[in-house]
Amino acid sequence: MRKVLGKLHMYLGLFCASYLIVFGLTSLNFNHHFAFFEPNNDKVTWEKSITVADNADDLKLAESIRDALGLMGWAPPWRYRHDEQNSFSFDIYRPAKTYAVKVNPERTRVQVEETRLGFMAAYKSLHAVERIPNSILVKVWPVYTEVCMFFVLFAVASGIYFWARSRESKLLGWILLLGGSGGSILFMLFIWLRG
Amino acid sequence: MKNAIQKIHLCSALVITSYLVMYFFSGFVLVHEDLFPNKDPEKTVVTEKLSYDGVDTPEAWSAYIQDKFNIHGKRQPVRELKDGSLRINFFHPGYGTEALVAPDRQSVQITTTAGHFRYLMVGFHRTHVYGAGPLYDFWCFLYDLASASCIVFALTGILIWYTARQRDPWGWPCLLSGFGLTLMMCLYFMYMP
Repeated sequence: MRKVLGKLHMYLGLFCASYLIVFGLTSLNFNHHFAFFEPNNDKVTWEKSITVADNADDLKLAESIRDALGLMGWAPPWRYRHDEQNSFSFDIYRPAKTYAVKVNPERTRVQVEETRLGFMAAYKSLHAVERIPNSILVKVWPVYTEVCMFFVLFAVASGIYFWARSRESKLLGWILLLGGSGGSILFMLFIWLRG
Repeated sequence: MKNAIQKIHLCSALVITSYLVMYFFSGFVLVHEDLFPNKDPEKTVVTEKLSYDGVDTPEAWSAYIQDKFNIHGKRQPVRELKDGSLRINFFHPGYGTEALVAPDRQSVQITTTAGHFRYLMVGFHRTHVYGAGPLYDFWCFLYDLASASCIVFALTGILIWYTARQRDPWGWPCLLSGFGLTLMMCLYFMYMP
């Protein structure tokens, strides 16, 4: 039993090590805004001819243009703009890239300004990326993060089990467990009830 | 050397276990909102008179309102609305308070929202950024400690396995598949249209 748990702890731990580092670094970045996580700002402009039906519904229009361009990402409604000539502009957001899209009044030609945010922007997005429109491969990542989430719960339980079964003195362990983890629980309760 | 690494692995786990479990569990709640009932939060609204003659800055108003009405929580940035009123928000996990100071600064409407389990978990998960007083700075410190410990667990775990890798050759595919997947996702986001 102990041997099987030990192997599981180790192999799953090695499999999840990468996510633990992603989670640790990106979480630290929430508090400290590290310079190395700052996105690049490399801009590339390109044009493409498309065929989309004009649509009074801006959301449907934006999504059909995005699909015609073969891009993945969200096209949030608060970024929709129409100018006097009825050109339609919107933005597409996704990890590591943003697109500023402008389609002509005839809805036949699109000008796109692509901003490439770089490797660290992609890495940062892995903290909690879930679904992205038009992306199939991204569905793999939430499965991995879920496995890692359950691994952490398992690792905590199995780690405490190994420690409890070890022959070494447990005084320091009890102090750390009760002082650190027990204290943390009390602090969470305090923040919740009186914070 | 291996013993020292094992000690670091174990001791850091014992210290930060409950905080780490809270983060991973609350992350699970965030991702799987549909599994947790979304009851409407309970709201209470009161209107109070004001007689403030201190400094007229958003921060001073925020501090005054929190102190005068004994409002708990982390102060959020104050917003001045178009009609001249001030919207001041205070937040702590499970609860939110909004104080709307009238344009003439003679009254304030205080709305307190008490959320349920999901609201509490989301609050725990998203309470970060230093600078909101010692209590929340300590929360942020524990948050940092939990984040750093994730990196420590991963690196010390790899080192512990690496020192005995001949006995556990299956560690290589486990390790490389995790890092490979991470790298693949980054490259996918960078280079796919």
